[in-house]
Amino acid sequence: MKINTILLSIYFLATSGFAQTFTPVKDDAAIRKKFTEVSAGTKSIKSDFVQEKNLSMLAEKVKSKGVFYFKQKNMVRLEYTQPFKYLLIMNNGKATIKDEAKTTQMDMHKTKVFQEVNNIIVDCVQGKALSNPNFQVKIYETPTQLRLDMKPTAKGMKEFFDNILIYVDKRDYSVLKMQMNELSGDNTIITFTNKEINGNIADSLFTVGK
Amino acid sequence: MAILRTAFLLWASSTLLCGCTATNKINVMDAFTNCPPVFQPAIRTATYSAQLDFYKKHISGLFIFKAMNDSTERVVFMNETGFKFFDLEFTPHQFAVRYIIPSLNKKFIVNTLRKDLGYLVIPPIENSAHDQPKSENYTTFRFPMEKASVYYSTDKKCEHLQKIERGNDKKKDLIIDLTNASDTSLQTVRIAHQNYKLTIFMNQIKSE
Repeated sequence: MKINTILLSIYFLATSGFAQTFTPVKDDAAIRKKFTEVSAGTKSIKSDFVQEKNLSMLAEKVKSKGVFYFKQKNMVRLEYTQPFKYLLIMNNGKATIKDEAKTTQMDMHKTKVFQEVNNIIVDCVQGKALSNPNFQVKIYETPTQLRLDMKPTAKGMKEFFDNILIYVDKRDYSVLKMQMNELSGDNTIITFTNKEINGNIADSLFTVGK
Repeated sequence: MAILRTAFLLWASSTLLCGCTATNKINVMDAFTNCPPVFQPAIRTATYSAQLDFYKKHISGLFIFKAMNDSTERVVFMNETGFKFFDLEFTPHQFAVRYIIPSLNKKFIVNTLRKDLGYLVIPPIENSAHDQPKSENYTTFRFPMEKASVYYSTDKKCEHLQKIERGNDKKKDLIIDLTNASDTSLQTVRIAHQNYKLTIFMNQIKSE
């Protein structure tokens, strides 16, 4: 009985591992086209997110969570609610940050790495990630997901990240997970859940104070 | 191993006693026994939400303090979205920069971080020379260093570390105010430089 259980566990582990193995997409151009088409139809997204920071020195992850909002064309609200309050709004080329003490504004064009990191999600939902000149992008797939492997080519990003992996749900081409792998071996994983695509989101959410 | 430990204890005891004779101001052994918060790390393993203000620049993030198994202390600072700024390693006699982003990798910045954060994670060595200046509100221990003294102050009963300062009896160039969450962990830390506008405020969000 015990041996059967072990064999069964090995079988499931092996088959589930096989099912999750990403392989290069067969028709790269078709995927890119589909990605652009679906993204063009994405007017808004509201999604919960969980962020996990993996530091090599820590056995456990540093976890935080919040709500992500996107509205065409370039409006993003990233609102952390636990275990700290932090709000990042990107709107019209300006980023506004409200932390527990202060509200600060910055011109995203002047802070390139900040701009790149925070634009990646927007690029994904707009279908621009695949044509971002600052990354070399390869696409892999399983029966249910796509994975965009983004290797930075621009100087700034190359100093921080080894690569950025974007996991996309094949059913609606929405982003499931972002994994930012640093050169040091640490990484940050943001997982999106409870997505509402094309729901009504007020513009006022993309200004601070709301 | 036991022999080594005994030898070390004997050596430590003798140095402590020597230190006592040399300073001739306070019984070091008694000070250590009666006021342990001064000789323990102010922070071991905990996560703090933090804000840094340097003149008009403001940045927020998370400070992660971790006491490692190899007896080193690590301090990582990253912003809320997970972008890591630096990872520093402290031991009583050594300091190493494990990681720092290029724009912060300046001698002045690294030295400031080493000293400011070092006061929190590396306590004064038990046998280092010190005396006890009079204070109305605190029990204070003064440790003379190369250019200035460092003052560690607890409440009158020596139960909690409340303040760390650097300077002389008349003027301090660094003041670190501490408030306690419990007997063993700090709730808030406020590091304020007096000669230039650098303030770091930390509020604990998680302890081990």
